Formats: sequence, structure tokens, C-alpha cells
Amino acid sequence: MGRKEVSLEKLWCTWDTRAINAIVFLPTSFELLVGVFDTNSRSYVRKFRRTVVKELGTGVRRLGIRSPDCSIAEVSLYHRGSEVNISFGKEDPYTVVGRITFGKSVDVVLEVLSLWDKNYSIRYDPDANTITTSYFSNGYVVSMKTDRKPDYWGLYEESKEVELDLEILGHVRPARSKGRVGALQFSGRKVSEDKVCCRCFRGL
Amino acid sequence: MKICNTYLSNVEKILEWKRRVYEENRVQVVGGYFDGCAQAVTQVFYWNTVWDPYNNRVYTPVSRVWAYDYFGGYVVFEWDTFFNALLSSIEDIEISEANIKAIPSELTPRGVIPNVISVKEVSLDGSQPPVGAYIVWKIYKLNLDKSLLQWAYPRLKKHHEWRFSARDRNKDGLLEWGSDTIGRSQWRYTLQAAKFESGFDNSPMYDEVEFVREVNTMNLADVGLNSLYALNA
Repeated sequence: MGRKEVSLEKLWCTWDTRAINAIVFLPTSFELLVGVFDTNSRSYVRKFRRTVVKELGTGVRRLGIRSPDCSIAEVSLYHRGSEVNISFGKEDPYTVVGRITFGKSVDVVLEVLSLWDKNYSIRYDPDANTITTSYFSNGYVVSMKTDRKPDYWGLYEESKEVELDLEILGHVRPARSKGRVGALQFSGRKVSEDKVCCRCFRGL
Repeated sequence: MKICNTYLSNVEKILEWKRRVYEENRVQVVGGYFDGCAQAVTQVFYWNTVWDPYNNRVYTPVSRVWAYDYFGGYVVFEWDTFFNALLSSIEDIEISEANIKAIPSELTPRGVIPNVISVKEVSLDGSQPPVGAYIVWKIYKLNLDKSLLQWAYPRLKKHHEWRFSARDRNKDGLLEWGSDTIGRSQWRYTLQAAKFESGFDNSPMYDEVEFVREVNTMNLADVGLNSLYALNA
């Protein structure tokens, strides 16, 4: 698990090679990924890294501002006629906030997972609307909270299960009390914007 | 999570503030033929800067798509990455240094810094144009921090010495682009691999050149290569 030669200011960054629509906290490999679910076709895209391909109607529409330390980062995604705009900002080295705006025909799914750390667990408290990721090897805890309660939430063992539930049921579901992937689903029919805050601290 | 509640009620303000601070302090070209040029370069550059979990390091690949889709997770091209280090130096020396260190870290025992290092392919047969020492020196001139020079010098020197031992095997005192027989690259020991070493992979400049198998190089003493070698020295 590395933090080799990375300053404190850069620990939260868009580090994931596979997904431009995600932000990672480096010592833990905690990732918050903004997935886009088209409710009409029930197609879910969780990794954006290519520009929009006309035939598929999916991709990165525009790269916005991105400071070297990721203190501000803005990107626009496109999926089947809908645009999703993501802004991330950092109030301090341990805290990242985000604003996601999206259209009526898509849902946004906030996935919480770890890229390479295996020794962790995720829980969700529906009353507090807080999703907590605990890392047992180094004591880090990352808490994430949104300004609205999600329309659906679920905890899974792997992201593939999130994708399957979305494609088959049209939404995620709370089948477990803890897991390795957390998913909060926000319906575009009900809201057009969601705000998120992730904060990392040593708590275990 | 009380702190998060406070932050959530101030998300707009935080984003606006951070955007303004960066806009006011970033390197900008305003007006003229190159209006917006520096902003575009840094924006794309920092979006492309990622973490390589295979080697535990920050670096900037040529693109995320190349790194993940074509090369299996990460990819470092020798001179591209040195150029990336130079590009980053206009705003962030830390990322410059991370890119510099990603390259000579791959130095082989015989002194080659491979053209390409990735999950799928490592081109042990050859390198790319020698620009490393010049770029490290330019970055040193910006921050006057000798630690990077001290780290890079022995590695770049070894690579510099390899070049003459392996790329002047016709002994005419001038360097040629080449490719050796070692490694598992599908292109090794071919004219195409020697073209890859030039960095101008498919340039028609080399259409009429031949690959001399006895010496592992083109039958051409490239002016660019010899000039860069002299500059790098």
C-alpha cells in the first residue's frame, strides 16, 4: 500500500487509470466512483475513460479544470443522451466534496470500494445516511455522506453484482449488512443534483 | 460526521473558492496565437496523471486508454515520460520528479532504459531518443534541488554509456538507431524496432533505410540522434 513520494495534498486524487469519474484516497485505495445508469435501456456504465463514441452514445464529453493536487477537478460525462457533470474539491487534505448534476433519464450510482486493499469492510447507516469504510490493516476509516438520502442503497461483495441488480431489477438493494462495495442510487426523476462529502481519518 | 454536514452545506462555496484560487495562480497564456495553450496542456496533463499500483508510483502515461486497454494496466514510454516531466514542471515539480523517477527505475543491468515498459510488453532490445539528462537538468534549474540530480546521474550515465557500446557497432564514431536480439518484443531485431527507437515510429524518413543485422542497427547515422546524444552529454 503506497504513499511513496506523494505529498499530503495529493492523497485524494483522480488516480484510477480505468476511470476518470472516480476519486481515490491513496493510502487506503478507497475509491468513490460516479456510475451512470440509463433507466430506459437499463444500461450501467461505471468506468469512463474514452471520449464519446457516437455509435454507443457514451463517454467523456469534456475535461474541465484539474489542478495538480486535485483541489478542484471538473469533468462531464455522457450516456445515451444525458449529461452528467462532476465537480470535486478539497477543503483540506483529508476531505473531498463533490457536486454531481444529472438529467431526468439517468440515475447516478455512487459506488464505494477499494482498488487494491483487501482488508476492509463497508457498512451503511440509513438513519445517518453515512457509508463507512474501515481498513483493518492501518486503522483508516473513510466516511461518506450525501446531502440527500439515496432512493436505493445496497452493499455487495463485488461491483459486478451492482451492475447485475441494476440491469435486472433497475435498482440496487440492501441484501447485506456489510460488504466490500457500497452503492447509493439517486434517481434523475426526483433530483437533478447531489452533493457528497468524503472524509478520511484514523479511527480504528 | 458533523464536519461532513458542515461541508455539505458549503459544497458550492468550497468548489467556487478552490476554482478561483487555482485560476488565479495557475500558469496561463492569455492572448495571441497561443491563447489558452498552457491551460490546455496542464489540464489534460493532470487529468492523465494516475497511480500505478503495480509499481507503487505516480506517473503520467501517454493516455489512460493506452495504459489500461492496450498495455494491460500501466505503460511507460521512455522519451514520452521525460517530456511529460518537462510539461508538468511549469506547475508541479513533484509530478515532474515522479515521472523522471518512473523512467530510470526501469534501467536494465546492461544499461538500457527500454522504449516501452508495461504489463504486456517490455522492449529490452532498445530504447528511445536520449533526452533524459537534458530534461533533468532543466528541471533542476527550476528548483535547484540536487537530490533529483544525485538520484538520476548514475542511472543516466550508465544508460549514456550503453548507447555508444550498442549503437556504434560499425565503429564509424557516429550513433545509429537499432534493436538487439534480446527480449521478447515481437518487433526486436527488425528495422521497425529501430524506427521505434527513433521515436518517429512510422516516419517516411526511414523508408529507404536498411537494417544491418550484423551490427543490430540501421545503416544510417541519424543527425538527430547524434545531436541529442551530444546535448545529453
